[in-house]
Amino acid sequence: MQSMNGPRVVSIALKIPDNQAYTALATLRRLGVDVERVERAEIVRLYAGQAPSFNPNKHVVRDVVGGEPSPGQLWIEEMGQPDRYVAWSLFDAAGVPAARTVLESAAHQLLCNPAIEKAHYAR
Amino acid sequence: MAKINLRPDEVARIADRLGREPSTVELHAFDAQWSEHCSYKSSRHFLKKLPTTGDDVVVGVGQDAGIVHLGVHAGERYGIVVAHESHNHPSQVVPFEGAATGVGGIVRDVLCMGAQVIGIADALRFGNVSDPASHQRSVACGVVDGVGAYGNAIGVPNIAGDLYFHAGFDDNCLVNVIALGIVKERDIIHSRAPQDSAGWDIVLVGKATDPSGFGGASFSSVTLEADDAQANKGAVQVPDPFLKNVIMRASYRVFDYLRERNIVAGFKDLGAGGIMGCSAEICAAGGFGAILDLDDVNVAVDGMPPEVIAVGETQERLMWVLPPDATADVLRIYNQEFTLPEIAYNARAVVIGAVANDKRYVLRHGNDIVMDVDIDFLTGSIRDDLPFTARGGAGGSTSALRAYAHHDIARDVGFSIDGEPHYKSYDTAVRGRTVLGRGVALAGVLAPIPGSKLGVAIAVAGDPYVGERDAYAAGEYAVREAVRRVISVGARPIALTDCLNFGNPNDPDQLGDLVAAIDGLAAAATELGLPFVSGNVSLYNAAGSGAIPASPIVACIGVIDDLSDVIVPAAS
Amino acid sequence: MSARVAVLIFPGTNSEDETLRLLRDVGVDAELVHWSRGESLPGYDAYVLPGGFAYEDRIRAGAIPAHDRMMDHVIVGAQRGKLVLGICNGAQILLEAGLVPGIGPVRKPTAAFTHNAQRHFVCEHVRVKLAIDPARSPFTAALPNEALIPAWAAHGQGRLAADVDHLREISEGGHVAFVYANADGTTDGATPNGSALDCAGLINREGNVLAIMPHPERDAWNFNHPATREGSDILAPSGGAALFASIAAALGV
Repeated sequence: MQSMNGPRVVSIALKIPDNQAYTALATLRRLGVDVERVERAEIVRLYAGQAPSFNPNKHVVRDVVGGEPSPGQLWIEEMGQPDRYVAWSLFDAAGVPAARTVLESAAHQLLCNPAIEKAHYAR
Repeated sequence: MAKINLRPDEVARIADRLGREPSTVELHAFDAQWSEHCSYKSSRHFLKKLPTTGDDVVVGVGQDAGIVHLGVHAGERYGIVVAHESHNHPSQVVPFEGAATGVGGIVRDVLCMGAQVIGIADALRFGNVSDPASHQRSVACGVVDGVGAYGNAIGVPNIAGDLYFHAGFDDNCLVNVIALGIVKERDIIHSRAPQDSAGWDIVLVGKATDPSGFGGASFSSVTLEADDAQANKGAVQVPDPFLKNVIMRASYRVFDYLRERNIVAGFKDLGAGGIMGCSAEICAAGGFGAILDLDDVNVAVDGMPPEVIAVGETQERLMWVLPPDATADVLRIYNQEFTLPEIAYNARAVVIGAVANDKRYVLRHGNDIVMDVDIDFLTGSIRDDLPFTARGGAGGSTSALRAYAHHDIARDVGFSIDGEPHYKSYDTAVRGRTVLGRGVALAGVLAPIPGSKLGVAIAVAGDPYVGERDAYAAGEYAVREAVRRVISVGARPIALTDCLNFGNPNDPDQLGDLVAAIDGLAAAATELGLPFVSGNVSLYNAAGSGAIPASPIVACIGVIDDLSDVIVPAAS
Repeated sequence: MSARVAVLIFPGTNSEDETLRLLRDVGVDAELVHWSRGESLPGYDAYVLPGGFAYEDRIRAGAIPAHDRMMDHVIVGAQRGKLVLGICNGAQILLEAGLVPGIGPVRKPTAAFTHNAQRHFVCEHVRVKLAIDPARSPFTAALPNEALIPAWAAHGQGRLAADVDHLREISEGGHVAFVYANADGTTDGATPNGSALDCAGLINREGNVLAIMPHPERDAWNFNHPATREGSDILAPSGGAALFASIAAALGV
């Protein structure tokens, strides 16, 4: 289901507990970032003929409508790897997606190394 | 829901013995315990032909790993622990995870003898990978990545191995892994509830039990069919070598704790059959029964059915049988000092039951007794006498010689991934004890004891191009070649291990190949005076195009009394 | 009284064994300090961060351990001039902690040892060449000019990467302590991972924090290289032990 406008973008998340998200949450909270829940997914941009590589017993694959980060999300791009991102979704205690300022703090303190990575936010 | 592979006559035998219809949990339990993977029901009686005794054997076949005497350093007797297993079907279905969990399982077999894990070797057999876009090539690359990723993360060097390609493995690769450990012989821990241990705690250690990997033992004991491939992915476990790294180091600390207090405990790896298989075997081995409460198991998701908690094969788990006055300290080491619960979701050490004085094996779940059987009936040996045809040169070795007389001796050359030999993605030098690592010689050599000149060598061998012609010859060849390789680095061969990778035992020709290969192994090993100390049988290796080439794969362990005498091949 | 050295163990560290053994074999008073015992760290005079996969490389190699409580003590010690050595994953942690190259604030990395050019793990025997004046750092003071040291590169993420300005600062500021080299000392084609500046090791301005990717401690006894051993004692330290011997000298052993 490639869109008319460009490549298909999918997110691949773990069905089993994601220990990276588990550790990211604990570390962000220790660094004083106001966050209650963290989710992690890999984002892959697929061009014509490409199929996502995943294990159905281990992963959940979803299409990313619009192909961009949604509010409360931070996409980390590794320089030189333009079609892959790691998506971090941060939520507060009420389950509300984190504000831009919270995301920026999380990126600057932990989730993004600017020497090799770039952070993308919702427009 | 995983399929039950028990035959109707086996189910009838269980019902007859219980005097009632078996419960769902009991059906799954017997399905695992009576699978070929756990029971060796169609092969065990042939394996008796293999020589298994000798002056250097400290722990022979029958436990999770074998132990041979290495030598004496500073007044202490040291043993080399070795275990050898296959992870063929999982690696074919989910190559990375299948191969990685193969390494993870074999490492636990060595660890649970009370040993430090010091080395890994792998023997890989793939189909035709010449087409870069082929499924066979993606299987090969996934397996190599999985073997490397696991060993690298736990920090155990891969020091020996071999690799063959043959179209007979197009639909069924072989992944054999061998692990080595070092232990002071007086510090060996056995996989059994110790003497007078009735009432002792049964402690589960490791990853939270999850629903993946349910039906693994049974799945390893049927032929792969393409239609089932997707469903079978669920029977393959998810590896977590990082958690294993921490569990290994925490367990080393527990070993020290127990030694300081002269506490004898039982320790066993969870593999096929999960919590049920491990707890039943460790208690039965000591002559006891067990009673476990499945509600006390640390789980990854709520609401799992009792048969999944009991029999599921979640990785990175081990089981202790501990005297109650030591339990709190051991739990503290795993949970507080090594912080397992902070490292992976709900990972921990937890008491889940007790050793029982009677010979009953009982599982509770909620308010129900979901399993209550005679423990010896559950774990005791069962036997299938299947018909087989006489195959290969079982009458003598002339056909054996013919089969491999003109065969080129394979070298540890690897296959190219991005222009490099595959083993360049294996860490061969971690721990700083490597004398000869991958790609240097025909055998790997380690200095296993700091401050000692004692060395241990290991080599593997087994040639499918011999096996496709003559199974007896393949057995003879594997022993002789593995021994020759160990001698080539200046070591004295002391013991062998084997993994017998064969086709469907219900086919008389394929079972005949297994029988002939065992004869070949036995003849060569007996002549050379070398015992087998560990082994594994992997049957049902066939898919689509038919049975794989007969593949007895042998590892030889050798001793170098003074590493100054190691023979290093001239640089080519 | 001789200096006491702590070898730090994070969850996932895997090279503590050979690192501790080599420190002791060159005469250093060293011991392991485990992550649940980090409060003892201020009592040590120097810190060594060994190789492995601390916290499973979660988020990025070195990212989580750089924020571990143990690193609070290491950072304070480094700022007070204590010697800090990171090998492989330990080096990655020191970059994430900002201690090397040390041209930005603490815990705000300006460079990284990141994914190899070939994007997978490489295990290869290499040589590293001293690329600074030995006198510039206590770590190297006992080494000859352009010393060649054997080591094992064993990493999936050992390629130095940074933005253009920071790379220039690293190069011109003399932060590249070691480069990959061939047996004859030349560097052509010696770098196994595409690392910028052929960099195998980085040092801070003050010279008291060294981050090196390959493992000299895994090729550090005669039995590790039996064909080229020095002298008859197969158990004697040699080869990669030269760097550790230089550290011992710096610690007054």
